[in-house]
Amino acid sequence: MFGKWFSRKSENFYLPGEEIKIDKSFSFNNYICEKDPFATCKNRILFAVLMFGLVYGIIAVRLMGVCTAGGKEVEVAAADDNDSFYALPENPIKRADIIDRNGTIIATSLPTVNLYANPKKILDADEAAEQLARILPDIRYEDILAKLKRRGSFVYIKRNLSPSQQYQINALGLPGLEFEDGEKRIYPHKNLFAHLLGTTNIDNIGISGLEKQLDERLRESDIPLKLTIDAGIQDTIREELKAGIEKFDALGGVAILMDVNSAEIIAMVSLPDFDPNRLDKASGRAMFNFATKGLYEPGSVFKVFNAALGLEKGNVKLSDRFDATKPLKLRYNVIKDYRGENRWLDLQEILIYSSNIGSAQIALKVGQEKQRRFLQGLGLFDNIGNFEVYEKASPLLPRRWGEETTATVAYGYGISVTPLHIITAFSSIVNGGIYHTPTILSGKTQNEDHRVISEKTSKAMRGLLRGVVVEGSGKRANVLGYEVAGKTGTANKLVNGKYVNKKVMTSFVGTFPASNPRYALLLMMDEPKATKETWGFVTSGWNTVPTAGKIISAIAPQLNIKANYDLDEMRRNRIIEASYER
Amino acid sequence: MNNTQTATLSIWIILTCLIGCGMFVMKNQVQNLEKELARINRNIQDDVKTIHVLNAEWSHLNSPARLRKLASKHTKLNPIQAEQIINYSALPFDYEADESNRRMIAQRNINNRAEQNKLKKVVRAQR
Repeated sequence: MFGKWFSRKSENFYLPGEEIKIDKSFSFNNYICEKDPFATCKNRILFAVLMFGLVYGIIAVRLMGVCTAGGKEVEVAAADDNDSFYALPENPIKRADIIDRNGTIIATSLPTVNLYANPKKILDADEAAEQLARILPDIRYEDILAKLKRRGSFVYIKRNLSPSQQYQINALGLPGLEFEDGEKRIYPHKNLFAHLLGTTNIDNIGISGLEKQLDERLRESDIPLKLTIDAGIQDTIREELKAGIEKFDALGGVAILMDVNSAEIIAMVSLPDFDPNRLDKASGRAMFNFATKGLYEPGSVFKVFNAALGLEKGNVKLSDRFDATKPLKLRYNVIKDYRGENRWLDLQEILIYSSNIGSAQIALKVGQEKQRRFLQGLGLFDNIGNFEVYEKASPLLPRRWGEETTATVAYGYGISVTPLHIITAFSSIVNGGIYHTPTILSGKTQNEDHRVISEKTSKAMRGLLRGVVVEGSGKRANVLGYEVAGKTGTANKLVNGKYVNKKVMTSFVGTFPASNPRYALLLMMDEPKATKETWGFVTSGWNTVPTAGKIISAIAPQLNIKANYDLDEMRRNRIIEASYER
Repeated sequence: MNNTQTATLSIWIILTCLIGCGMFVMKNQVQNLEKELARINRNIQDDVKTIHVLNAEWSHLNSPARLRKLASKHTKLNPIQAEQIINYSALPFDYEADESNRRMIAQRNINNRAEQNKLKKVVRAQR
């Protein structure tokens, strides 16, 4: 092949010196080294050609190797952004959002930037600290300087920079200062869900409330966590409760709204509360979630469970009458009524006039053992273990459960439970008799449930409770059209081991509409004061009940409950027709 | 070394060179595409972050407390009361009504219309 280059034929000479052309014998075909005068020349050319070939060969082989296997150097160069090459881009926000039942975001994480320094690389710590202190007015110069002079190679200067701060620090161009992507938990609704959601620490790890209980779930998956809470209703309830607390100058209050048929919590407010975005301003009582952790003696509200117990165990009929003419004398104490009727009362009247004597008699008639088993079935003895808010409390039970305890527990003394316990038990009484574990997680399937009372007892209880609201202490919560049924309770507070008369915890627990209960509402106020408007009374009927009435009339239309007037349709039509006439 | 051998050798060398070059070009292109992909992914992440921030802001702006403040400032609406919700049958335009009733409603509507027209005429005359 190479021979052809050298064996071009040319017969005639046209130019001078052409006869010195390379002749025919100069070819690789009959290549004889000794005879050839150009032997050295040919050899050198051949050598050069082979060397070039070899070099190109090596380059080609190396190229192939690099391209197929991927040389090490190339791999390193591409390693920076290698992780996100083939998969879909990862969500830059790691902690999942929390949304309410309508999809409103109630907790979310925002991308922020953290500033850290490598003190080893800092050239002039004084100057750097001075410049940083000017940009970050909330950190003292001395603190920054101390951090920059530290021995290690990593120190946080400030978490969660604002974009303008980041820009300014970047513009300084100081070596040794680095940025790091971070995230910060934000609660756009501020105080509204403070106790429910809880808070996270600076590393975005849950430290209280739901954030702590479901921390793993929130960190593992970035799919938003859907709650059963309704932001609008929560807000309405909070506003009304806040107004009530201000009006009666109470220390605090709790409101829980529950769907009775599934025990899903629609709203849960504990006041006073705090702004989880500004934890430094929160004080002790404000941080305490009374709704799930606050143990208190509920008082007369317990008569609901007592009446259900009497009816369910068959010892008491609706028509049975109890002697409330005189205080009930037990071995160690005497049970009196708050405002005694001093006559024989039937079950309805016991609830309407909230008779302690009558309730105690029912409990004593049923018996201690049955009472305990019944209350245990209502979940009033156990911690609500898998409830999604971290702060929970176990009920305080009397150490020895004697005759006295049986009598006092009948009207809600001697046992301390949380508001959540009461509303859950109450829901199971009115919803047809099935106890559901309370939850705030939407679509939770493994809800434990069991029957506590029969359908018939539940129906009778609804009738009795409706009676309390129509003609008893719950009158002021009788919202026209929504058939509220419920029970009030006023319990004296225990101060230094003694019951104090002036300091009370007032509660109202109700359900609506009574004919087919859908929601249950619990309202509790801590130490409401008497005002002119309440004629000096501090009992539940004067403070929590009107507040509950306001709440129900405000939220029932939002909850899509059809108003059912006691008026008959014809008469209503006539009234409405009349309003259109001119 | 004869002609055939040289030919084979050179073909191999050229082939190797060609494949090597071809692969190099391809690898180069793939790397460019990967860079492009990484860039797009970064952009997506930035967009996701922005959307996240906007969502948070939207939620903040939609917080019930703020909406209530705005509503009370700009509208004269009160929270709805139970009495205000009535049945459809209670409304005055009852399509199920019998002949005479319907005629009465129609008559009333016509009268209203006539009164309105009269008013209009008066206004025009005054102008």
